[in-house]
Amino acid sequence: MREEPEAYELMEEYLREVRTYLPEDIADDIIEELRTHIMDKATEMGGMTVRNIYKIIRELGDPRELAGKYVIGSQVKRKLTFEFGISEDLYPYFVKMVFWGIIVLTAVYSVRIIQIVFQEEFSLGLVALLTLEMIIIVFLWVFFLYAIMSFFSSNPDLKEMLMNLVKEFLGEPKREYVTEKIKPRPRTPQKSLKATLPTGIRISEEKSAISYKPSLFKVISGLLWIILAYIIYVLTLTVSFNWLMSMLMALLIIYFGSLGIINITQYLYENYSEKKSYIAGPIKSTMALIFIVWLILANIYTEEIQLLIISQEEILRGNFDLTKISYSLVPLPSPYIPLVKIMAILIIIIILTDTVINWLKYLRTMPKKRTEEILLSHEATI
Amino acid sequence: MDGSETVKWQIELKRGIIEMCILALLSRKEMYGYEISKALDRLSEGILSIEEGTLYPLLRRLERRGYIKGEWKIVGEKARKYYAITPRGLSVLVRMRNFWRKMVESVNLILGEEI
Repeated sequence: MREEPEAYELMEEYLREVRTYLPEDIADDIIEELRTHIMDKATEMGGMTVRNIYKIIRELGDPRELAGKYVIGSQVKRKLTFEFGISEDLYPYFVKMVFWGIIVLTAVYSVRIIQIVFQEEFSLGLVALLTLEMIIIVFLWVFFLYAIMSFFSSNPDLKEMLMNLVKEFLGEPKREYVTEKIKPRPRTPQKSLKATLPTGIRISEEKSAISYKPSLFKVISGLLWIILAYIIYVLTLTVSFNWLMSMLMALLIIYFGSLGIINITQYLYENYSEKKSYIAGPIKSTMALIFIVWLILANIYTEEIQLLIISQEEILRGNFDLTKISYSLVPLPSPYIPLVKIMAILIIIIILTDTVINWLKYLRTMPKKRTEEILLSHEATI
Repeated sequence: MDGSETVKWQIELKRGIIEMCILALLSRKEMYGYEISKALDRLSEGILSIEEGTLYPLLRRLERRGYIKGEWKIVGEKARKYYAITPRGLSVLVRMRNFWRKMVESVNLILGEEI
């Protein structure tokens, strides 16, 4: 029988974590029972090893979730607590609300920006200010939601109430991935559950397997990104930008072109394998890192930034031929230089945050099986 | 009903049945948590297997309702919490069992074949 001291440490660490979310009067009993369970199961699996303990506590689940199951519906009164972090069941609602919030805000600000662009006295400063205002509001919206959801996640009773309320209005969220928990267990063929409906349609076991169908929107958006990259390419052939703006155009062509290819590849992979691709999101956000060097340069050489003025006459006449529309380049007006410098820093922060969030989300939603494969291949120590 | 809805339906259906099965197991003999989990898995051939993270809180709820009673015992140098059914749990089990039999008969009649 194998025994590793680190396995005991890991188990105690997990139990300590569970205990923090339990009411004091019932904590000892629950923790003791969980400890006996973990040790019993580990013994059966071959001993108290780190890998065995890791598997067992993964099956028991997130400490906060586990403790919450004990508290929900009980008469035990708990103090309200707060800790940053959203529980797995509230997370899909968080993403949904962030998404729709951003869509509404972008729509509102786009209308306002378009109004300004088509005014006779076009003011770039106002557009920049509005964009900055929108970015700040989006940040505040995400932070506010994150704090609210964290509060509910920290208090299982309140979370249960919220979940019931949200389900009434928004319905059950779609699961993005299938965990071992909800997969139907394989059964022996002779005991396989089959039901025949009166109409004669047979529901077989195989049909209940969860498969993922990607949206065709991915292909359409992929093509649009490639078209956008092409438009920018044509623009660079027509307009003589300086070094800083040429660099930006090259980066935009690479970025949009790659986005298009990734989206189409993602669709093909998902359609063929009937599985959702988790890695595409983090890759896309990581690609945005290529702009960081440019943003740093733009922050240093802000006066080199050029504004592209497009003659509205041809467009209003209905002529959309990029090579025939007249353009002019003007340097960035000096009063806007400090504003652009701030915006460059803000965008750097957004890109970095987005990349980190996407990778964290990827690691969080990574199917259990793959985590275990990685664990096995690297002989991980926890 | 698509694949994910079928799974959801199976989970909801199992939820109530598992409570009845736990009471049925404990009406035969007292058992500890992990033993219950394994018995459910083995006797139902995996269909009624329950995650341990759900089983222990469920046992706690049954205990709170007075259907079962947990007691720490030392068996073979190991201290474990053994659960036993209470008289109240037993009468609930009888009612559950009666209802279950009637329900299975009715459902079979509607489905038109034995499951």
